[in-house]
Amino acid sequence: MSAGTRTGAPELPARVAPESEPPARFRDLVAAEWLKLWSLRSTPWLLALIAVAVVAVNANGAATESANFHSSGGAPDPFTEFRAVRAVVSDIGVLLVMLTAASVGTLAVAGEYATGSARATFAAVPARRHVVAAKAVVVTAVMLAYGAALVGTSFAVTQSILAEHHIDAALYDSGVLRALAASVLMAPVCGLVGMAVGALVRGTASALVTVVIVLILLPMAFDDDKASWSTALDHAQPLSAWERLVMVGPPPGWGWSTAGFAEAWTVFALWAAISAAVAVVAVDRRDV
Amino acid sequence: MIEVHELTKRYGGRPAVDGLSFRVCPGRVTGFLGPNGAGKSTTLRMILGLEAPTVGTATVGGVAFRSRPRGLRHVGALLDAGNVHNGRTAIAHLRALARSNAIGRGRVDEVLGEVGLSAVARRRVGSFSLGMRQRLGIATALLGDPPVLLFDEPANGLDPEGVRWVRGLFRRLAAEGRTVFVSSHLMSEMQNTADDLVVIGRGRLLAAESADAFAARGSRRSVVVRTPDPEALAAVLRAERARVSADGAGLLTVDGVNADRIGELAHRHGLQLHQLAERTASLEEAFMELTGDTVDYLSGEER
Repeated sequence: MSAGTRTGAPELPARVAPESEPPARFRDLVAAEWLKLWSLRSTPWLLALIAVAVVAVNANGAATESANFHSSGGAPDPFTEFRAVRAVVSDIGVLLVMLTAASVGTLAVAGEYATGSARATFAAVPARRHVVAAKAVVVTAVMLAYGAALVGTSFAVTQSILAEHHIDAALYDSGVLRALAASVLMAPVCGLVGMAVGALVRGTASALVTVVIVLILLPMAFDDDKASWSTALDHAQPLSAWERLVMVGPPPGWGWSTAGFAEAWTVFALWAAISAAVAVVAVDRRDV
Repeated sequence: MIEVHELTKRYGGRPAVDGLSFRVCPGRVTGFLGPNGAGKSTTLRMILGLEAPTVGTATVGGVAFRSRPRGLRHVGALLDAGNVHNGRTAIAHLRALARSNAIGRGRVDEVLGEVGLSAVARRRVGSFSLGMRQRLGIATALLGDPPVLLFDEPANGLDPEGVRWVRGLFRRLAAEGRTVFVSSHLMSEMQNTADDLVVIGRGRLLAAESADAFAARGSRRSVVVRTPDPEALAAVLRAERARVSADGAGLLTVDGVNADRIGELAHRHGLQLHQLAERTASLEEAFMELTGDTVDYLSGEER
């Protein structure tokens, strides 16, 4: 089946192997994924704009809380601390962070397939599992730092507003650190969920819609106030787990009050681990 | 050396690639030809491990490419000029790929210079023309200085200068002892470039041989004769059972008798000849003849 020899073709030394090859290092893949993430202009813009929006929304919430407290006569109630913490990690704030982290994770994977750059990536690094693992490391690290920066800034801004009427929460009050940590971790968890969805769905638009459905709309479909399979499913959602973890002070008597913090942390850990595994396996198994 | 053995890819119904076996040797430019949809790109993607074959194997240097931890130093590939994120600059695209394979930044600047993109290295790829994207794809392929290079339709979108440049590049890469495998649906692109040819149609192998041997397949070897007395010559030639067609202006196209014999006959009958030339079959004709009934998307005809 080999092609015949062309008469007159010069005899040449065949180059069959590269001259020298350095060892394959995982950190080179991490560095490459880091370059890829930040070489897209949309990444810093998206992160910066959402950060400003989150801090602004939370500051506004704290100012409203402070004004309400003032106009209602100014006596702290059992839920004062809960409200102080929720000023740092508001519903809107956490939803914005979830959407942002999920889109960064989704686009890191689906963006490669949608643009075809996945072919260049995997022709350069045939060890696809390592590429996805490196991507997961970068997405997790960046989202961890981003979540920490947002929660830290929000904490400083909102508590200084609330401190005017002494209705702020101290960092070492019971449960405050837990609530803040859960909010920080929400970003990497959603980033990894985004990667898994991006690996399964691949089209950027459909992947983004899917991740919104999974992370935000799905929890709304379940009950959370009676002992049933629906409640169990609800409690298995990252958003519900987060709601439990940010409760400080006396239990409000609904939903997650029946389940503990350990279960909520487990939900976070499982979503992160399963998502990373799904992303690795899906990219490895399916044709590019 | 690329070795493809019984390679088959099925996406449900009809196989896109069907029991393909061939070898691509180092030190030569090998053209990979077939009509649109013949399975060329699918074959290249399987060689690169991007798609898993349904049946069969493809190895590069005796190893399945997919089992290599890093690829750029082993195989360089231009698959589709569009395989770049439009939001990145050319240099960012190459630097990320280089970094993943522990290739220094200096090499990125080198290949950008080699393909003539240094001046636009910091422009986003979204603003590139197809020709510039092809050049970026070629730069990607050269990044790891690999012994094996694959190019899928590299001439698409290149201007005439660019086409001449890639031909020279392929010849040079082969002269350095590398394996150069270049796909195209146009035989004319291969005419003066390829040493060997692998021709496929509908996923099946039609031919794998040297370009010279392939050209010799062209069955219609004819001779063109110009004479002041075409009728007389035509009569003489027909008596020799040749097929003769006249264009009415003294030019005859003759099949079935070679040029030597025509000269001899003309001399014997005292006929003057102004021109006598054997028209060698072109690769193009051999290609058309071979692939004619495997074309999937034939213009002007419902299939």
